[in-house]
Amino acid sequence: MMTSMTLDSSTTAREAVEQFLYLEARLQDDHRYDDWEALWADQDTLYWVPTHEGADPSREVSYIYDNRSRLTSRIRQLNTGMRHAQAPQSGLRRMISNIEIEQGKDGLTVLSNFMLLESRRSHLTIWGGKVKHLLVPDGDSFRIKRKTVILVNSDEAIGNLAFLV
Amino acid sequence: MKHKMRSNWKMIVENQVDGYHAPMVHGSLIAANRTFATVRDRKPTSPTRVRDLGNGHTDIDHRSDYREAGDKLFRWTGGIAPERLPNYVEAMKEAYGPEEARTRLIEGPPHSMLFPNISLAEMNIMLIEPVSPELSIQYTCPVFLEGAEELNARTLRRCEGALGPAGFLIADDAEIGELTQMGVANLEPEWIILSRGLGKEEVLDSGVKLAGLMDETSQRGFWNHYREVMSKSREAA
Repeated sequence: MMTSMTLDSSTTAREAVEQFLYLEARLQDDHRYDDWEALWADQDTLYWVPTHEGADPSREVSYIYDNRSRLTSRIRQLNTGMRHAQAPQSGLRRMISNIEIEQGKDGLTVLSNFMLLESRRSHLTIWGGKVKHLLVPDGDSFRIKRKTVILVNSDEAIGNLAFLV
Repeated sequence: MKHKMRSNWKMIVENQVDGYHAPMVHGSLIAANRTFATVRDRKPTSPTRVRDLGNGHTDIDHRSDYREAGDKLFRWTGGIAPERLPNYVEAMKEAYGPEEARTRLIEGPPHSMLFPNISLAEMNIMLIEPVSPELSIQYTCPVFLEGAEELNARTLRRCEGALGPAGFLIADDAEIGELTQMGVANLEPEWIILSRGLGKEEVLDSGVKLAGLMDETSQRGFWNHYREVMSKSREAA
């Protein structure tokens, strides 16, 4: 269970985490692919979007299960500008809230909720879900070791998810 | 994995049986991923055959390409080195003998479309469900072989990489299906022409028609049968 945070300088840590999540959100919304990738640690990372909460990724297919190398491929493909599912790019803005932080031995585990508006051609789509980050300190900010996104409609049929979620 | 696509189900089927869409639809992955770019010959002169198997069933037969490319096993699963799947290779040899096992590991599983809506895409099965004239859901499932854990793990990760809403391939196919849907809804021109290679196919004794990767033999196979069964159902009504 997630408990309230236990850091000594809790307010400072919370501010730093919030700033980091807002930065990440803005880079994703603005399709700044390389800048977003730079937020990740250099190795042993996982970007995971399962099809339901509690899924076993060794037996069940996920929407996204990117190790570091596949994450790089994803960014490289988007950077070609020829990824039709994002050409034109979606108009994106997301809100982040309900941030809970826990200090663990591997870093900070951060839970948050998000709601994302996607505009593409005539369609306005609402995405939303729960995100779990594992962040490791890097100078006065963080790098992402793990990011898990559980969409509220993860077990329904979903449309193209070719932008960064 | 369930993928919502804003197009008629037939747009999705047609996209999957056409031999020539990859360089355009998947150009971004060809540019971004060396393995994907080199594991098949997609040039107009490719040895790959498209086939109209009759009754609306069609496929893209990559075996001829893999055979011609030489002795490399596993092109159908990204050209992985056989040493990385030692137990699977050994089990195949035991089951089929060394020679037949080798042939099977070179040729791989089919890339076929079973009429009307089941796609066998190497180690994946996809089912296309029509929801309305302009909305479909594609169900995607990796194929696991009993006891072949090392291959299954690879199959699972490859399925996620390529297919579904975030897949490097199918997200773009979905987009093109939607654009095609918008195009046909415009009704101008009224007809889509699918005449490439018409009358130039090699016809086997079985009635199977073979043609080159740039020919529309497989699309015609699908549409001709669709027209046939739909005409019959109209007569019956």
